[in-house]
Amino acid sequence: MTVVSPASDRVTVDRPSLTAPPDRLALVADRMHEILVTGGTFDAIYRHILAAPGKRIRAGLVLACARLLPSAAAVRLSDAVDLACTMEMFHEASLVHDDICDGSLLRRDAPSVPAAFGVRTAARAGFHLAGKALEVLARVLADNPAVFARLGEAPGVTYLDRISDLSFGQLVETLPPAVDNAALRRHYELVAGAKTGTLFRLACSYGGTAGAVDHDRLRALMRYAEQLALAFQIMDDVRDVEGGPSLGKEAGGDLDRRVPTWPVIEWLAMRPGAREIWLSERSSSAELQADLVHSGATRAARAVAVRAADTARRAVDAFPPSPAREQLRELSLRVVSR
Amino acid sequence: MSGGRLDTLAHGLWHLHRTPDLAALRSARSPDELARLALIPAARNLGIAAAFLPADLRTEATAALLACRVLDAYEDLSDRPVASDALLTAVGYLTGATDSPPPPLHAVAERDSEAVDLVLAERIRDVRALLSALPFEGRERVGQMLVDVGAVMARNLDSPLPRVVYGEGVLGRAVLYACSLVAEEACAAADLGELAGGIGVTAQLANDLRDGELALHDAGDREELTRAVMLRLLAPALGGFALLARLGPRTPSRGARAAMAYMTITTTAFLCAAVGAPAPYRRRLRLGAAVLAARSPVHWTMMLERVRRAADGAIQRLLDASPDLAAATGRAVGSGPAAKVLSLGDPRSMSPSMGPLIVGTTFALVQALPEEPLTGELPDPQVRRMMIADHLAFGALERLRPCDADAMRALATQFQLTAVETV
Repeated sequence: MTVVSPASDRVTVDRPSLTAPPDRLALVADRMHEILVTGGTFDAIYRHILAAPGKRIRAGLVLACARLLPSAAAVRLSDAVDLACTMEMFHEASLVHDDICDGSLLRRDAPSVPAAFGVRTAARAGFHLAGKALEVLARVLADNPAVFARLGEAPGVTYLDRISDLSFGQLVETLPPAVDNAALRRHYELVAGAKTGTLFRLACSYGGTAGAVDHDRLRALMRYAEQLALAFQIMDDVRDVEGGPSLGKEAGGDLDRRVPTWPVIEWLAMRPGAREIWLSERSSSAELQADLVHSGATRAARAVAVRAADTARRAVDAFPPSPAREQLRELSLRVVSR
Repeated sequence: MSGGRLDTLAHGLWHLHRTPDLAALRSARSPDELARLALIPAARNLGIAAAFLPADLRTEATAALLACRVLDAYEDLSDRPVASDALLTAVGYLTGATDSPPPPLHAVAERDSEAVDLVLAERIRDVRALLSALPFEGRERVGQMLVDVGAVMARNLDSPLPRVVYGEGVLGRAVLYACSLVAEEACAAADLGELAGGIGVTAQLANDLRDGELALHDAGDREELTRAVMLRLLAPALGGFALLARLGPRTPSRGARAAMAYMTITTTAFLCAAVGAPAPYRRRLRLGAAVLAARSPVHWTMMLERVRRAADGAIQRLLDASPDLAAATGRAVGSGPAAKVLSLGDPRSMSPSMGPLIVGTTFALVQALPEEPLTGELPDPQVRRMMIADHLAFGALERLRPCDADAMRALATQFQLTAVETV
C-alpha cells in the first residue's frame, strides 16, 4: 500500500509526482484492494475482479478533474483517490450486473463473475460493491464538508441523485425504436449518454468539485464527459464488430442480440437493403459483421467518434493549461485510437 | 353515504370531463359558491375524491385544494423574474401572514386547468376567506402545508429542482397533509414523510406525463417521456403502495378511505393507459370499486393487490421488446410471466422506511435469479428481473440529497448487510 503523508497530499497542479497518471492509478488499485478485500463474504469475487482491472478511465477522470485548478480548497490526494475508487466500484458493480443481463461468460479475458460464481451470488456481490462505493463516498463527503458544501446545487451538473440514469439506460437499450435512422441515432445517443455517460459525468462532477471547480466550469466538464462517453461507446461498438485480441471477450455479442450500435446505424443508412438483412432471422452475426466492415460502416462510425472526441477536447479549454487538462485531452485521443 | 355527499359526487362526475364554466366561477357570489363550483374543474379526480369525505373534512380539504391551485397559478403563470416573490406573497396572503395580496396575473391560459387557476388567483381573496373560516387546528394544518409547498415551488423557480425532489416537496407534502387530515398515525413521522413523498412523486410524474412535460425529462417525444416517467416511478410507487397498505386500516372515515382508493385507482389507470396496459378496473367500475375498497381492511387489501398487479403489468408492457426486432432475435414480445416488482410480497409487513423497503425488494428480486453459474443468455424474464433490481437500487440513491453523508452511509450499510445476509 502506498502511504500518502497527510502533510504532502493536498491535490495541487504543481506537484510533479501527481502529473504521472500511472502512479496515481496504482494508488487507486491499492486502495480498492484495501477497501474490498477485508476477509468478508465476497473476498473471492473482489479478488477476481481486481485481478483483471479495466482501463480505470473513471478513476483517471476523477483524479484529473480534482487538480484542474490550483486551489487551497481542494481535497487531499488520499480523498481524491477514494473518490476515484468510488466511481470505479460503481462501474465494476454495473459490469457484474451487465454480464448477467448480457449472458457474457467472459470479461477482460477471464470468466465473468456470474459465470465463475453463479448468477445470484454475482447479483448480490454487485449490490454489495455498490454499497461499498456509497460508504466510501459518504466518508469523503463527511470529511470535507467545506469542499462539498454546494454539492448538488449546480444546474446541469450530474450528481449522485441521477445515478439511476445508468440503469435507465440499460433498460431503454432493450427498447430500440423502429428501424428509422433518425430515431435510432436519437435512441443511441440517449442510451450512450445514460449507460456510459452517467459515470463519466459523475466522475467529472465529483472530481471537479473535489478540486474546487466553479459551477460554470463543472458544466464544461459535463460537456467533456458527455462527448467522451459518446466517442468511447462508439469505439466500443466498432471493436465489438471488428474483434481482436484486446477485446477481452467474443466479438459480435451486440450483433447477436441485435443491438442497434452506431456502426449498425451507419450501415443501415448507407447500405441498400440493410434494413431487411438486419430484420431477417436468417442473417447470422458473422455475415452482419463482415458486411458492416466491408460497407465502410465501421469507418464511418469511427469518424463520428473522432468528432465527438474533438468536441470533448475543446470543452476543457475552459481551464487554464495544466498537466491535468493535458491528461483529459490525451484521454479523448486515446479513446479513439484504441 | 349522506345525501349531501352523493349530490356532490354526482355533480362532480357530471362536470369531470366538461369544459369549465369560467363565467360561472367569476360570478360566484360567495367563497362557498366559488368552492362548490371550482372544486371539480380545479382538482378533477381529486375533487371527486374530496366529495367522498365527511362534511368537516371536505370543507377543509376543499379550501386546501383551491389554495394549492392558487399557488400553482403563481408558480406557472407569473412573469418569471418576479414569480418566486409573487408566489411567496400569495402564500403569506392566503395564510394570513400578510394583508397585501400578490400582484395580479396577466398570463393567457393555454389549458383549461390554467384558465381555472387564473380565475382562482383573481379570486384569491375568496380562497383566503375559505381558509380563515376553518377551525384553528385546520387553519394551522393547511397553513403549514402551504408554507412548505410554497417554499419548494419558489426554490424550483429560482433553480429547477430534480423532479423527485420537487414531487416530494410539493405533492408529497400535500399527501402528508391529507394523511394528517384523515388518518391515524400510520408509521413514524420520518417514515410517513418519505412514503407520502413516494405518492407525491408518483402523482407528480403522472401530471408531467399528462401535461407532456418533455423538457423537464429531457425527452424528445411523447414515447421517450412515457419511458422516462414510467421507469422513474418504480421506487416512489413502491413507497406509495407501502403507505396505502398502512393507511387503509388506519383511516377511521369510510368516506376518506373511498377517497384514497379512488385516487389510487384513477392514477394507476391513467399510468396503465399511457402504455396501453389494462387498467385495474374499467372506467365505469372505478367509483364502485373505491366505495367497495373502503368497506373493510379485507376489501382494501384486495383493491390494493389488484392495483399493484396492474402497475406491474404496465411496467411489463413498457419493457416488452421492440416488435421490429422480435423476429430477428427469436424472442416473442411479452414472452414469459411478468416479473413481480410492485406486487411482490405483502406491503403491510414491509419496512415503512424507504431505504430498507427498496433494498428489501431489490434483494427479493435477486432471490428469484438462478443460483447456478451463467452458461449463456438467461431467459428474458430473468434478464428483466436483474435490470429492474438494478434500477430499483439506483432509485434508492436518487432519493438521497447529494451532500447527505449520513443517509448515504445508512443506505450503504443496508445494501452490504442485506447482500451478506441473503447469501
